[in-house]
Amino acid sequence: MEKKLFQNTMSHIRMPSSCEEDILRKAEAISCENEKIINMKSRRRSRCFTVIMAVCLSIVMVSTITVSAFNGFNGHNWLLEMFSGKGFTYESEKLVLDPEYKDKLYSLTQDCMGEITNFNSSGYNSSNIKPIGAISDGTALYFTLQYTPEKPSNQIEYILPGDERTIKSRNKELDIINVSSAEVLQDDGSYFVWIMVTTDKPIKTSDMTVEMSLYEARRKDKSKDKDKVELYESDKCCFAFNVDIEKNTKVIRYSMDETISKEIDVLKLKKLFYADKAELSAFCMRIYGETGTNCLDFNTIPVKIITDNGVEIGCILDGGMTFTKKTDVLFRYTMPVDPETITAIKFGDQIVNLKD
Amino acid sequence: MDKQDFQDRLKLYKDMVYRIAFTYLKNKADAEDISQDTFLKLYLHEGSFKDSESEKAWLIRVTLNACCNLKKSFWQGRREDMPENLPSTEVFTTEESRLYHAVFELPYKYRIVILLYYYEEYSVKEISSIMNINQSTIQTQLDRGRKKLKKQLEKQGGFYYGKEVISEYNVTHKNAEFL
Repeated sequence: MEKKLFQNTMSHIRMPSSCEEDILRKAEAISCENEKIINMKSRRRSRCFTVIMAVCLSIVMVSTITVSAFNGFNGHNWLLEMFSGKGFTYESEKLVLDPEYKDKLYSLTQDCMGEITNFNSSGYNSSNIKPIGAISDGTALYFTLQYTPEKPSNQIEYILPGDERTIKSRNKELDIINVSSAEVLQDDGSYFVWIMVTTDKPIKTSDMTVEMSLYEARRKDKSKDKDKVELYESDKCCFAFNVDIEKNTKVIRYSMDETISKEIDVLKLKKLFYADKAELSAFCMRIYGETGTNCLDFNTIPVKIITDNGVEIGCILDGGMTFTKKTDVLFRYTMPVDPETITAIKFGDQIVNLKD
Repeated sequence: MDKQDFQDRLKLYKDMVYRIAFTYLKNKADAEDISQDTFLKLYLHEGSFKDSESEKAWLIRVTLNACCNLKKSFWQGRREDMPENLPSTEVFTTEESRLYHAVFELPYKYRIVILLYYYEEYSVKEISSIMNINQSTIQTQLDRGRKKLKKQLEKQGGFYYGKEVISEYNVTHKNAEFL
């Protein structure tokens, strides 16, 4: 292959002018004002928060998980843990640990649960993987597996999904947009592995086939950060199953007439989003509207939902934002919530009431 | 750093920094974040650089470290970016589009080494010094990256060179410099 062609090809990757403008604005602001005002790490900070919360929660969870977690599909701890490590707020964290809320949660997510059938596995350590449960709200498929590694846990860094993954709906392959995973070590040395898959089409059919694989991933050399995780073909465990999710999740729609704004003090600039509709389900909400001339980046403001008992639950931006004027944004809650109990949405300090 | 100096440097290095971050992370929003952080670090950098080459190397190192840290984060680190996150390939020729997709099918560590070697035209020794990785590791990554890239392109059913389909990679234009 031609070197020149490679250079031409890669030269198409250029910094967008909006990014360059942002850098200049921030540099300008640093030189003019107190640099503490600059939120140059806004997105990263939320990630740090996620990591910290994940670590804290993992410690709490691991110490509080009992044998009931292994009740599998009849129990519901797996469902709660699925949402761990995704940025709980303090209030929602307390809620998760409340036994009464667990029952409520179980009943509200019943309609979204799917039945896993025909589970089979092959390859490395394939006898030590079993399905726990699957759930979908139509926007994503979440499923949980219990995996008992062959190696001692101190030799394993992560349990990671492999690159080969297929989801078929009625034998028609769907385009996978994103795969996220997390795992928590259980007392008996097994892992609960949660996987979230989003596809190009809503997940609503009664006949889905999932084919994926897991790796026991480890660092080649723990003392060297740069080498990080190594995946070995010999550590690959393949699995496949069918899932039946024909029930639809409850969605509540609200008309809105709100301007969501964020003022950048230093720059004397207001970033706006005109919201005209909200759709709320048990797992996520989608806000429809128009962007202002200065497009509001939802990554830069904390978004929460507020329930009728005053509990604030964090939301994570999942995507959907485009640079077209008419657009929508999707937020996933950090834990399932009965959409009927949501009374308001909080964008930064701005509270938008949904109910009078 | 002087405001004018900073603007000059931004103009000079903005695409390089963004390209490296994007090649590493395969995600526009993350590449923008990393680029912003990197340039603001440059703006706040108090020491001076020996020459423009050491400044460039510093920028690459800061960018790669930031990418590495981002990739390591708990949830974010395991998010898999799919081709939808790649920039629009409308501006690409057919050849470029094939190559582009093949490059982004490679594991990130190979992508980065190939980018630094063939695009930024650093030697293995220089890449080793910038990335603080052993020279032989860089050489291995480069070799493996090349092989994988070749396989990717072959999987696409032959590589187009001009109007002629070339299925064997050693069949090349005699004046061209090849990977």
